[in-house]
Amino acid sequence: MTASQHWLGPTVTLAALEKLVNTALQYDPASVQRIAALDSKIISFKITRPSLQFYILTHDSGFTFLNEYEGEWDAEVSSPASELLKKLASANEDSMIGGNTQVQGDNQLVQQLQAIAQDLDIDWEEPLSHYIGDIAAHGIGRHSRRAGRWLAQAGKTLLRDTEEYLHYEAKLTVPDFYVDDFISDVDQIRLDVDRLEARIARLEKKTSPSQ
Amino acid sequence: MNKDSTTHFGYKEVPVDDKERQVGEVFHSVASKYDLMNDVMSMGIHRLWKRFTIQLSGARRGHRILDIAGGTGDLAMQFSRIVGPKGEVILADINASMLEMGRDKLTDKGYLNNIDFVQANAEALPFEDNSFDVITIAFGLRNVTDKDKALRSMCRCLKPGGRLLVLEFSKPRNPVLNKIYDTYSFSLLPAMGKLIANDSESYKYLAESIRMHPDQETLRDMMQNAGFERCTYHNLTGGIVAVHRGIKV
Repeated sequence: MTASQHWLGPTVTLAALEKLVNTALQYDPASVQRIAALDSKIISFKITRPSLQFYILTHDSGFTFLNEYEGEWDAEVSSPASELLKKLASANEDSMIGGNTQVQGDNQLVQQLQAIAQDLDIDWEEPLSHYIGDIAAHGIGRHSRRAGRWLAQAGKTLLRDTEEYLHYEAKLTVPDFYVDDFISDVDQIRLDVDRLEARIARLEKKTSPSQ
Repeated sequence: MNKDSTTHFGYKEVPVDDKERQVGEVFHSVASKYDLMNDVMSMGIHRLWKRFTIQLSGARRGHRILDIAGGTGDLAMQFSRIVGPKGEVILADINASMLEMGRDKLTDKGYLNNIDFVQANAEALPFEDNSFDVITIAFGLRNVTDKDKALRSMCRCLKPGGRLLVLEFSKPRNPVLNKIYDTYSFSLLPAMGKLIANDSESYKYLAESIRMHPDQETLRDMMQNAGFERCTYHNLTGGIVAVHRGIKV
């Protein structure tokens, strides 16, 4: 077989994603500088749900997304899409490892990328000002930031209140530290049982008639 | 006129020695509007065809890549990022105006460290034997006078295991698409050329040269005859464009 009709769907998707990410990065020069400092690295992404593989190449103007890369990568991240997005947006710096996410190769590189994603601070006022002028764009930006802060604060409060209600009022769930203690006790019992099993096996070996 | 001493220039027969000059005039004429016209004519799809070509190239860090008929540097720019500081990309074009456009564009965009620019004829590449990991020629082969000689020259310059990628207009597989494409090429294309680049003749040549270019199977056979092995091709957008890949073993 020497001929095939190729469907450009995956190529279009990655091209669009690359354009979106690099355009957004234009409005956060500090992040572009941090990406440039990574010095031409290749990160493989193996997305398990939906099944998808692509590669990200870092360079001095952002990222290049590749459908295929036949050389060696510096790091590989395997994760379901939803979990990966959640981890990239999370404020916890160690959160990339664990759950259904696995990192192979240069773990520090993946953490650097995660930190860049978390610190991303896109100046939306800049592109907006080209269309509606500096003063109007600044006004919209100021109100959007205020609304964003209020929403983030309200979200945190709502989450904390809901958690307290479920733990202490409705008693439908238990607090995290109880669960952690319980899991730790279970682990301890498992280890104790393993040791006991090994001792019994040793005693049986010693007392068996063949000895 | 002796048939052996002539070749096609679009639908016209011209002396072999004169084709290079006439093609040169076409590209001198369109150089300044080349990128804009490519975007308008293909509705931006040429960027996806080039992306797919890069995908098939297997280019990686540290590679040495030659982009023949590199024009305004779309492929060279991407390759420059992929090969990184330890690799090298050479953008070659026979046409001084196109090469100058490409060099200015890439310099303005900050691509300075790993790209070199060489004015060269694809039929007699001025490079050592076995010196490139990848060679590409995108929308350039149909303008070359002696395509077989050019393919042999590319094979000579590739390292064993190296890949040649030829991205070129080809023959649509579907008769309905073929009819629509004909109408577009011979009616709309010259009109757009007139409107945007004030040059309908060059774009008429473009449409005619596409029709005179070998079809998918013929080009694959030509690559095999030039010394390439495992030659394959991928039809893109219904066969309007095809990417051929051959490996020097």
